[in-house]
Amino acid sequence: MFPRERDGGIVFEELVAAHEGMVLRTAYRLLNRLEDAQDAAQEVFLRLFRNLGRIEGDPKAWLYRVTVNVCNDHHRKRMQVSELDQHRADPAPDPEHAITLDERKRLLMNGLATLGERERTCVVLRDIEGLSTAETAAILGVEEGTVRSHISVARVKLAKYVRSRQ
Amino acid sequence: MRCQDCELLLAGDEDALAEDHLRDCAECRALQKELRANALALNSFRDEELPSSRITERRAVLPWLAAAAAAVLLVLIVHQTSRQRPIHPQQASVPMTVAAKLPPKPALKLPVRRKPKPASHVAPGGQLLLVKMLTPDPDVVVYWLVD
Repeated sequence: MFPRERDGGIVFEELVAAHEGMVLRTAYRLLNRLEDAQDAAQEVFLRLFRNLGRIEGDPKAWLYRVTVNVCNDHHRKRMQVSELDQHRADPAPDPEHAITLDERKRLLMNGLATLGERERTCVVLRDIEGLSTAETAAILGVEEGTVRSHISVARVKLAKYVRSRQ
Repeated sequence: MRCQDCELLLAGDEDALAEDHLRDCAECRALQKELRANALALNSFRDEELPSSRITERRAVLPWLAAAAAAVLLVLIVHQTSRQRPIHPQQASVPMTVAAKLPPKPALKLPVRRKPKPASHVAPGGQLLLVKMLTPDPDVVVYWLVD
């Protein structure tokens, strides 16, 4: 169990300082909008504060799990608006055009928003955050095979999404 | 091997198992190229700088907003209270105004009016003198009866 305080110091502040960047970065990749990511990150740390005495094991894994849950809730709420934005955001495909890394990254961010909840989460945790398949599976509470399956399907979808918009 | 199976092998980092199919399928080779470029791009997200400090800034703004809201509320309450305070003199002025129109009666005389006044303050003919006092508030007018 994770202590609320240690040697008179506030553990909460230490956890926020240590993981603020990770939580915000993950939330941003999952939500594709900084303001939403900041709101989600605040919600994550609020939950951390409320549950500090009850967290068992590595708080980083707990934070990843809560971030994913909070972001998925956010994503569901604004799904329709986001779909409209994507149609406006991506230009028509140009077969002669070789895309730069920045353009690819922008397309990937938009492509992530088109994926299913689990697929998007697996790509963010596994391919962007660099977690192992086992860590990703533990965070999501699923089998490693399920993660591998989601990742494969998501990568193919993203590749086709990017190709269709080049 | 079908293209669909090859796609999943490529996406699962098992390119070696799809070598034969890749040799004959330009479409899957293109997909392989795309997957590799995407993997590099997704990896590069990790090195990107995000304004992480803005979470802290956002949290720091909240107490200021709360304090500002409290200050505005306080000003409104004080303003409202100061507007309500002159109601009592206004209510008191009603019988005084009525009294001015009626013939003078001893019962209506205020204690102040019993003080001895210099002759110059007495209205001509021995009648009551009605003094109308305007205040900064247009809704409040004070009437004063003078012997």
